[in-house]
Parts: sequence; structure tokens; C-alpha cells
Amino acid sequence: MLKDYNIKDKLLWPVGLLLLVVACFLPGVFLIEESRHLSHWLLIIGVVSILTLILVIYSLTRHIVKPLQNLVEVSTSLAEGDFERRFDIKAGDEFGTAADCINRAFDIVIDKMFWYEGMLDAIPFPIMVTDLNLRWTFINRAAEPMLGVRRSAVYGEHCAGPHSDVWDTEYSIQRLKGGNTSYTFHHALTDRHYQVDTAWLHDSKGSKTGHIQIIQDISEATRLRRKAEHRNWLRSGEAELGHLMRGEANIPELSNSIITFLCKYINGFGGAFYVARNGDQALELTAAYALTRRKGIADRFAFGEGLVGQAALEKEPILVTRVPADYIQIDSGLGAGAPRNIAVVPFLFEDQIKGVVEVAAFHDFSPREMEFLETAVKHIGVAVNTALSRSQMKKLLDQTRSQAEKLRIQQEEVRQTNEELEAQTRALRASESNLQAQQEELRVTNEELEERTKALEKQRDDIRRKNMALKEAHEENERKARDLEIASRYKSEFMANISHELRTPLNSILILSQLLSQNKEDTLSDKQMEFAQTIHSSGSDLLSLINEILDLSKVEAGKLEIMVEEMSLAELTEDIRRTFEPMARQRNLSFDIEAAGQKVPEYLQTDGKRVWQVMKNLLSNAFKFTETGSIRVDIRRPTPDIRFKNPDLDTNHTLALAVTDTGIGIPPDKQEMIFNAFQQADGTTSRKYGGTGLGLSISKEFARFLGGEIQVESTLGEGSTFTFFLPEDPTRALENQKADKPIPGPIDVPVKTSPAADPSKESNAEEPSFVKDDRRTLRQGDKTLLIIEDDPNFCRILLDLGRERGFKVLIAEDGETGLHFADFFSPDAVILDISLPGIDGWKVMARLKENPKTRPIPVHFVSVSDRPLDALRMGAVGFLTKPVSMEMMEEAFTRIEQVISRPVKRLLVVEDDDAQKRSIVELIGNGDVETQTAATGAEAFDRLQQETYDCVILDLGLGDMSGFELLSRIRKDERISRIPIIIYTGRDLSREEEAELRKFADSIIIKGARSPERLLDETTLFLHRVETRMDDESSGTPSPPSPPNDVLKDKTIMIVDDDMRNVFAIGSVLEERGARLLEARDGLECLRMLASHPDTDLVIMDIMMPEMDGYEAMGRIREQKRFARLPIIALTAKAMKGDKQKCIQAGANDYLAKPVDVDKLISILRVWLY
Amino acid sequence: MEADIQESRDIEIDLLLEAVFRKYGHDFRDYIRVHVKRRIEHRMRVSGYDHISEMQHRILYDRRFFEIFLQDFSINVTELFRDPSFYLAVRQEVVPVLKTHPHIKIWHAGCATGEEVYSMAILLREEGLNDKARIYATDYHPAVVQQARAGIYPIDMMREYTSNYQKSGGRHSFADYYRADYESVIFDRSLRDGVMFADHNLVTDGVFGDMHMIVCRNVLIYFNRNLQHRVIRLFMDSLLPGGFLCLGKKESLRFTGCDHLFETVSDSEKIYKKRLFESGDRIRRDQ
Repeated sequence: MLKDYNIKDKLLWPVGLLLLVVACFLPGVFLIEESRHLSHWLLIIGVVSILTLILVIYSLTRHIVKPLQNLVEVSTSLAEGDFERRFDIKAGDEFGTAADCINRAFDIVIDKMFWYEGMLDAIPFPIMVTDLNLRWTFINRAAEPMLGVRRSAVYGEHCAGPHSDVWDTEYSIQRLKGGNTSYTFHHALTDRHYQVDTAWLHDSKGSKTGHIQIIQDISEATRLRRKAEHRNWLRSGEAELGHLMRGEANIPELSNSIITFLCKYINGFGGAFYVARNGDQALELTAAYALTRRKGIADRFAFGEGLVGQAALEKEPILVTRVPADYIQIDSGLGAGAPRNIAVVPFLFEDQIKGVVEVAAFHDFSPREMEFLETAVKHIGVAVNTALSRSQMKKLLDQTRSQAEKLRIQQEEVRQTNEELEAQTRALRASESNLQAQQEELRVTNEELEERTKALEKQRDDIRRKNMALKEAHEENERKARDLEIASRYKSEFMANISHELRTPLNSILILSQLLSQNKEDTLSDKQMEFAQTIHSSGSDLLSLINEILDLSKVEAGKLEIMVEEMSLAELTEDIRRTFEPMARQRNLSFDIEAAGQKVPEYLQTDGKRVWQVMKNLLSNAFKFTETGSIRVDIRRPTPDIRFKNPDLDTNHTLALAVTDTGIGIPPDKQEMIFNAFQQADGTTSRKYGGTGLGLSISKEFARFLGGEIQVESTLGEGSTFTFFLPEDPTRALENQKADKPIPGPIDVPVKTSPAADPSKESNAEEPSFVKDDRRTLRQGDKTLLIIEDDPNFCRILLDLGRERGFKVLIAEDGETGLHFADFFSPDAVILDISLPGIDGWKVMARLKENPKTRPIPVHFVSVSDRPLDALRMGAVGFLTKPVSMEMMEEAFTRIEQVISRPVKRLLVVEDDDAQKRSIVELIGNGDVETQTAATGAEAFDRLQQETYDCVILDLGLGDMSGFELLSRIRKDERISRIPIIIYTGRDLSREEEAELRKFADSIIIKGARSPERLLDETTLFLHRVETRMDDESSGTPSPPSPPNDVLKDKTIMIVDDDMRNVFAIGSVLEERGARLLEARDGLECLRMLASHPDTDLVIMDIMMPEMDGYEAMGRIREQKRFARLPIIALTAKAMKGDKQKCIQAGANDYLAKPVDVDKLISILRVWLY
Repeated sequence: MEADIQESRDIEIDLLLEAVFRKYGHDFRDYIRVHVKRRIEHRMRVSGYDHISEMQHRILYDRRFFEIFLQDFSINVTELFRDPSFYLAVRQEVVPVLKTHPHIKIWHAGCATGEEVYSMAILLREEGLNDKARIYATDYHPAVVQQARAGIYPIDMMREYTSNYQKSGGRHSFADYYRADYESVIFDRSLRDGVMFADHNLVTDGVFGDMHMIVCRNVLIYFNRNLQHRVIRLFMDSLLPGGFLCLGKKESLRFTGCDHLFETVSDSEKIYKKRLFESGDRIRRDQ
């Protein structure tokens, strides 16, 4: 400041000096000019006057002008700002005094002025003054650096000239004119804040002279204020949040109010709130703000999964800027927009992650907002933790409460039970005392009883003794009865045997006597001829007697055989007429036979021979005892009021054969007796009427055996009627008779018998099968069935069934006959029983298979035995276990028919091991399968090409090529590709190998203990199947040709299923229609394959799979954006309500229930591939 | 009077079963009546209802109550190696045949809490079939299936189970297969490797494809004849030809109208085998 003044002094000095010189010289010049015009006198006078004047002037000057001059100079200096200068008037006059006074006044004024100026300069911020013309009139020292020049240089300059870059003076004054005296602004370049104050300046008269600006740097103050504001914002946010969270235990509500508040407070436009479930390291969405729920966005994240999970894992906030536009969308009623920024902030409690807050905003998050988020989450952590523990506590409390309630109920129950128990105890106690009383009584009774017991014991002993005696007697009786029985049987057998022995010689006697009586050589006299005739007739009588004895003994020995067959009633009457009419004529008796019309059947099922015998006996008797009158035979239905002794008879199915005579009659008391052997009504009559008396008893027995009976009505002296009631069907009688048959006991007495008389032999040899079969009506080309079965009833059933199905049926009762028949008749099929008399069914089967002629005949077993497998191994076509149902029988017949109707099957066994090969051939080889073998793959392939086979058994390990190779060669060859192939291998196969094999082979069998059984089964199965398959083919076109522009064509379809058969089945359907296939066995493989085949058009997804199931797999597929629209069809066995929904929710487009309906599958695929 | 009440009760039961079927899809209409009645009465007693209709209201409107009701129907009486002779028969008669297949699939229908599934898994492991076999274990009650999957059982039964195991022809120490805790045992996790647990309703759901063996023991006893027939038919369709069907001791194929489709492997253990041949004639008549 001082220096400035010095500079000004130096500038003022020359100016003053110049002024002084001018002041001195100007008058001199003027004088020289005037002297030239006037005279010298004038000049002198002038000079003197001038000199005087000069003196005067000088003095004046010295005393007046000089001080005046000084006055002017100093004043001018002052006016020009030289405040140093003072009036320099040393005169002691008024000037001097005035000058002193003025100087002093100046000093005072200047001091004042400097004082003000100093004061302004002392102010550290710029102060600037302009006049009304906006020219600088003053700036203080602090303003100088702002303008960048000395102030002395700017005074008088327009403010637009030297100016500050920081603010604009004109603008300030403009504002002042508008009445705004103060404003603040921020100078961005320097980042400073300024306050500008402006005011009008007035002169002493009050008129405006200029403006003053005062500029203050208020940066620091602003900063402090801002800081305070910031703190306040944070604090009030925290306080509000705290208030909001206080006392809220409900997590969803808490989450909701937190996220809503946060978003509002920091101007977020979307937010999500996740709470951690630390148990399973995952975050769960509990609230959202303004978020549009997008399909497929998880409301659950595992730790480390996604940004949310990552933030939780790191426990650090994650800030995302420049989010892609389609990342998230905020919708309002007016439109939608995508926020650009996302903050993901985890919150913790005691360093444990409690959740994550996610906020999205359109603006960039300010540090203040971030700071607020970070502060807020600390409180949120605490609040969420508190809420969690509170809800946990509440749950526990509830649980405790409900447990307490339960306990109370249980206690109540216990109390009730206790009471009941108590009541019961009381009841028990009461009954106990009752019991005691009863016990007392009992004791008394006991004693009484004891006494009685003793008495009883005595009695018992007596009884026991008597019993012993009785038992002995009984045993004695039994022994005797047995002896008797044996004796009787001995008798019968003896009779039977002796009759045979008698017949043999008698045979010769009869033949010879007959020859004699014919007298062919004419050597006999009439007398002798008569003798011979007598010998013959006596012999004949003897023979009939012997025959009768034989029959009777047979009946008694239970050896009578009944042969049931069709009997013609007409033949019977004809026989009777032929035999007895001559006798009637001879004896002059009238003889009539009458068969009562329509009611009588033409044929009967019975043993005709025995019926004839009975009738013959009855008629013989009638003739025997009738002297005069008539004998008649009536054949009719019995009258309904008839009473049978045999309960099995009924009038509708019984025939009455009545023989009526007018003979001597039988007294009522003898009517029973006459049927006993060796007895006649009158013991004496025998002599008169002859006969053994055996006839009737034999007839009675025969009738019984045929299921019928004989009744007699007679009046003494008037005649008798013997009626033979004969059932039309003797089946039941035969059954009963079997049951009645006495069991042959052991016979220890050797009976000498000749082989010819062996009774068992006799019955076998002499009597043909008792069920009439078709052997007599057999013709060339008939379909024949041989039944080897010893049960006649079952035989009959089989016979009927066989006939129904168009078979001519042959019946053999035993194995031997069966074998003969099989050999002789070569039937088309055999039904074989196992338990047979003589050789059993197994042996029959073995012999049938040994004989090349009978070997191809299919044999079906029917037996009570239960060894079907053995039978099948022997080559049987089927096995039925008795008792069988009608359905089973029909099934068996169907099976037989199938076997018969199909030609011999050809089987190829491809196996390089000889022993194996033989064993397979042995196993499979039976009549209807022709087995051939090949040892190498090449040989097998050649054979297959040259001949036709129905099935192939293939070992995988071959000498020349692998089984796989052979398989694929076979399947590639059009002509042979359809042959069923069974893989028979000792190798364990991996799933891949199996899947590969399944494409070619129909069945895979691993060798082991039970594999032969399966091999047999499967081979049979395939040999059988060939037929049906061929049927299918012939019945129509194999498969409908796919339409040319089928949508499936060239589509890539992935089948995901662990069931390779299913894959194969569906796959072949799709491939037929031109689709390309990808196969995956579980969810993981599916995902892998999708990654490498992103062009897949459709996925068929099984739900139940190992590793990763269908639900999860679909979820994972849908997570990938590129597969969001990939059609997925789910397959599942489940059909419950909601199952379909579950599939759809998991990401399936449609749903198909198993088993898959091909048509449905195709139409669904069309829909989704279109 | 008594008969009248009985009639009303029968109507109520019919209505309840119909309601449950329509609302929740569980079909108990063909369960045997006595069983159904017993279970309903049990629930009424426990929950304090006097009439079935009152309870029906709650069953329809309270899903949780229905869950409880559903649980009542699921009788989960089972044990490890239940009927040891059955497992012995499986070892002797069935396993050798299963060994002839490259890979096998077994369906254990109605597996309840899974004891028998683990039994089968152990048996298969001992027979060397564990790598070749896959067991599908199903039950209609999801909670029960969950339990089965866990494979945790109370320890107090283990003595009996061990004895069962030995009688069933077990070859190792039973303890090799589980780890015991204070009050429960947990079965070796690796036993579950080949097992898939799933919920499946025999009454309403469809077939499982191509099984080599189906084990469904003591389930059919709760079904009436009609339903038994349907379920056996379902098994029939799910089995491969020659596949095995194993029923419970007291169950039988007789009277189900399907006995001709199977042959008997063991009559006493109720093991049957699907016939290879089905007479076409016979089938037509059935339909």
C-alpha cells in the first residue's frame, strides 16, 4: 500500500514541475512580443513598470499567487489521489494559517480515508464497487487476485473488461436491480461454493452512485451443511426403518415393508427381498416391490447361485450397472421400462448371512444411497434375525401349547381309564368275595364228588373189565368174519378156477359128442346116436351149470366185468323171440312179446350180454314152471307208483322188462328166498323141475351190477311176474359198484391156476375198452386223437370234447394199448395220463419219443401229478394238472390244435462249443422242431440265406466273428432280418451292450443254473409267435404308409427313458415316420445330449428315471433360455389328479399316460411339431 | 331299527368315499368294506365325531385333516425279511432265473415304509444281482415313500429282523448293512443305489413297463374282488412273459379270474410266474 503511494508520488512530481515552468515562461514570452510594437520608452517605462510590476507581481506571487498556486497544486494532487501532499505555505499570514488548518483537516480526512480503505482491504473476501455505468470504482485487496490485475489498473474500466472468471458482475447487478441482493453458486471448475451479496451505494444526498459486491467463499460452510444434511437423511432413514421393523415377527410382512421402504427411500423402482434358510444354504424370496413376476425366475437361490446367492456367499454387496434391457422390467399402467442399475446387498447377523436385499433403479445409485443401503442392512439383519427367532419361538411355543393340550387330553384319557380301572378293580373285588363263597361251595361239592368218583371208579373198573371181555369177543368175531370172508373168497376163487378147469375137458366132450351124434361115418346105431345126443345135451346142461356157477362166483368174488355199450332193444326182443318161440310152440304155451311204443327208447347204454342173460334166466324159469297157459314179455316204462329198492333208480330213466307166466306161483314167504343161491321155493321141486336154482340169484346180481333190480309178484297157483328194472344209463351204478367191490385181501394159500385162467389177464385180454370209441369208423384223412387214460368217466369227457373239435377219438385204457394204438393208427395227437395200470405215462412218453414213427406226434399230458417241466422237457406240448376245469381242457385242445396245424419248425443253433451245442439240441429237440447247428458265424449266415428258419439261438462268442457282427449282418439282410433271435451267452452284459443287443435280438439269456428252462420257454415262445406274426402280415399291410409330408419327417426327437424297450418301441414308430432319434437314459444324459444337439425339435421325457428324474430334467432344460420353447412331452405311469399338473408345472408342454398309445403319441407329436 | 342305522351308515360311507375320490383323487371305493369302515370309525373315535357326514365336511374343507385321514388308510405293518421263508424261496426259485437276464427290473408295489425293499436290496446284493437290478419302490402315500427313502428304523426291532434275515438264507452278518444309533438304525446308503422310490397309486395309476418281478405283498387283502382283479391285470400288463409275481402269504391268485395267466412257482410262498403262452381263445372269452 505504501509502495503504491510512492509510485504515485513519482508520477505526480514531473506534472507539478511542468506546470511550474509553464507558469513562469508564459508571461516572459508575452512581454517580448509587446516591446516590439511600442517604443523604447515605452519600452523603458514599460521595462521599469514591468520591472516594478514584476516586483509587485513577484511580491504578489510570493505572497499571494504562490500560496494560491500551492493551494491549487496540492488540491489537484489531492484530487488526483496524492494524499501525501500538503499545502506548503510557510507564511505567517492568513494563508499560512488557512493552509495549516486545511492541512490538518486534510490529514484528518485522509487518515479517515485510509482508515476506511485499510478496513476494506483488511476484509479477506473480495469487495468490489462499480459506478452506475458499471465501471470499477473500487476493489479491495482481496479482489485483486480474482481479477488478476492491480486495482489501480482497473479503476474506471467497465466491469466487462477486467473481470473474474468465477462470477459475473453484470449478472449480480442485474439481480440487484430485480431486488435480489444475495445468491449463492457453485463454481464447478474449482469446486467451490460462493455467496454474492450486492447493494446500492448512495452519495450524501441519497442518490445512487454505484453498486458494491461482496463475494464470499462459502465452500466450507456448504460442505459442513451438506454433511449434516446427509447425516440427517441417513439417520431419519434408519429411524424410519427401525420404526417400521419394530415388533414385526411375520417374515413376509416384515420383508414386504422393508423392501417397500427401501425402494421408496432410495428411489428404487423394483426390489426383492430374500431371507436365508441357513439350514439348506439357500435364499428364499419373501417379498418383492413393483416386480413383474417373470416365468422361470426362481424365488429360491442356493448360496452361490446367481447374483443373489453370490452376494450371500461373499457377504458383500454387489452393484450392477448397465443391466441389459431385457434383464428386468418394471411395469406401470402407463408403460414399462428397464432399470439400469441393480444393487444386491446381503444382510448379516453375527457374521451369519440372514438374507439379501435386491434393489433396481433407473438412476445410478449415489454413494449416499449405497451408504444408506449398507447401514440399513445392518439393522435389517438384526430385525430379520429377531423375527426369525421370534417366529421360531412362537412355533415352539405353539408346539408346546399343543403338546400341553395333547398331554391334557391324554391325562384326561388316563384319568378316565384309571377310573374305569378302579371301577373294574372294585367289581373284581366284589367278584372275588363272591368267588370265595363259591370256592367254599365248590370245596363242599368237591368232597361230595370225590366220594362219587370213588364209586364211579369202581364202576369204571367193572366196565373196563367187561369191555375187555367184549373186545376180545369182538376180535374173535372179527377174526371169524375174516376167516369166513377168506373162506368165502377161497370158495369163490375155487369155484371160478374149478369151473375153468371143468370147462376145458367139457369143451372136448361137447365137440366130440356132437361129432358123434352127426354120425358122419354111419357107424353108429340109432341107439348109439341117441346116447351121443344125450351126452351132448347133458354136457350142454353141465356147461350152462358151470357157466352159472362161474358167473355167480365171479359176482361174489367181485370180478364181474361190465361192458357198457349201446344195446338195441329191437335186437333183444328178436333174440328172445328166436330163442323162446320154438320152446313155446313145443310146449303149447302162448308166447307174446310187447314193447310199449314210443316211450321206450330204441337203444340203451348197458351191457347187452348181461341183460340177455338175465332175460334168458327169467324166461327159462317161466317156461320151467308153466305147464299150461301163457308166457308174455312186456317192455315198458315202470308205472310211476313203483317203489325201487335201489334209490338211484327213477321211473323216467328206467326200463321195465316184465316176464309174466301162468305157472305154479310162489308163496309170499318164499318170494325172497328164491333169489338166494342154491335154493328153490320148494326144496323138492328141484327134482321135478330140475335146474340148479342159481339162475335167479345170478340174475339178481347181474341186475344189481347193471344198476337195476328184479322184483317179483306172484300168486300161488296162478302165476308169477318177474320184472327186471334196467336203468338207461348205468354210469352211477358202475361207480357204486366200484365202491362196493370187496377189497381183495391177502391170500396166503397158494392157488394153483393155469395161465389161461388168470382172472386179471382174462379181463384185459377178453374185454375191450368199455367206452365205445371211433376206431371202427376211422377213415383215411381223419384227424385222430389218441387218449391214453384209465378213468372211463374222464375218457368219456375227453371223447366228447375231441369229437366236438372234429377229432376221431381212440381210447386206450393202459400204456401198452396206447403204445400199440399210437404205432398202429398214427394219431395226430395224444392225450396222456401219467398214472396208468401197467407201464406209466412217463414210460409211455419215453417210448413214444424213442420210436421214430411216433416221435413227431404231439403229446399233451393230463395228470394229477405236478411235474409240468419234466413233461415239457420230454417234449410234451402241454401239461394239465388234474382236477381240470372245462376251460383248461379247452385250452389244452386249442393248444393241441395249434401244434397240429402248424408245420414242423426249424431252429438254428449257432454255437462253437460242441458240448453246448449238443445240450441245446437235446433240450429243444422234440417232434415238431427240426434243429440244425452252425459252429461259425459265416456258416450260420450261409445257412440262413440258403434255408428258412423260424428261430435262431445265438452264442455271442464265435470263432470267426462276434455275435454282434453276425446280428447286424442278419438284420441288414432284407430277407432274413425278421427271424427271431435269442442270444444265449455266458457273458455278463453292460447296460450299453444290452441296449445295443436289444435292437437286434428278441431275447437275451445269460447262461446259468436255470437258463436251460428259460431257453426252452423262450424258444417255444418264438416258434409259436412266428405263426401269429405271419398271420398278422397276411391279414393286412404291415403298417400304414406314412403320409409323404408327415410333420415328423426329418424332425429330431429325443427320447429320455431308462427303459430301453420303451425307447426302442417308441423309437421304431417314430423312425418309421422319418424322424431322427436321440436316446438318453436319464435326465443328466438328456441335458448333455441337448447341449450337443441344440437343434432338437422335441423331447419325450419319462418321469421316473434314475440319477435325475423327469421333473428335474425339465426344470433344468427350461432354465436355459434357448430351450424355453422346446416342446417336451412327459410320459408317466401316474394318473392321479394333479399329476398332469405337476408335469406341466415342471415344464412339460403335454402329457401322455403309460402305456403309450401309439396313435395318441403320434397325434400329440403332430400338434407340437407343427 | 338297528338295520336302519346300519343302512344310513353304509350310505354315509359311500358318500364319503365318493367325495374323497372326487376331491382328492384317492379311490377307496373298491377297498374291502370292513377295512374301510374300521378305518373311518377309528378316525371318528379319535377326532370325536359322532357321524360320518360331520367328518366328511371337515375332510372336504380341511386338507390337513384329509392328510391325516389318508394316513389312517395306509396300514404300514411291515418288517425286514417279513416271512423269511418267502425270501428263501426267492433265493432258491426266482433268483436263478433272474440271473439269466442281462438286467432286471423289480417293482415293489405298496412298499410302505420300505423295510421289504431294503430286504430285497440286501438279498440281491448277496446274490450278486445288485448291479444288474433296479428296484422301483412305490406307495400311494407320499409321506410314507419319503420314510422309505430315508431308510431309518427303530432299533428295538433289529433282533427280530436279524433272526428273520438269518432264516431267509442270509449269508453275512446282518450288521454289515446298517449303522446303529441310540434308538434307530440307518441302512447302508449304497443299498439305495439301485432303488427308485416314487408315489404311485395302484387303484388309479397305470402300468410300469416290462418288469421281471413284481412284489406286492399284503396289499390285495385290502381290496375287493373287483379291484383285486384289476390290479392283477395291471401286474399282468407290467410283467414280461415269464416274469414273477409275488403276493403276500394270505393272498392268492385264485378267484381273481387271472389264475390261468400264471403258473405257480411256490404255492406256499405265493410266487407265481406269468405264462409264456396265453391262449388267444381264452383271452377273448375274458373280454
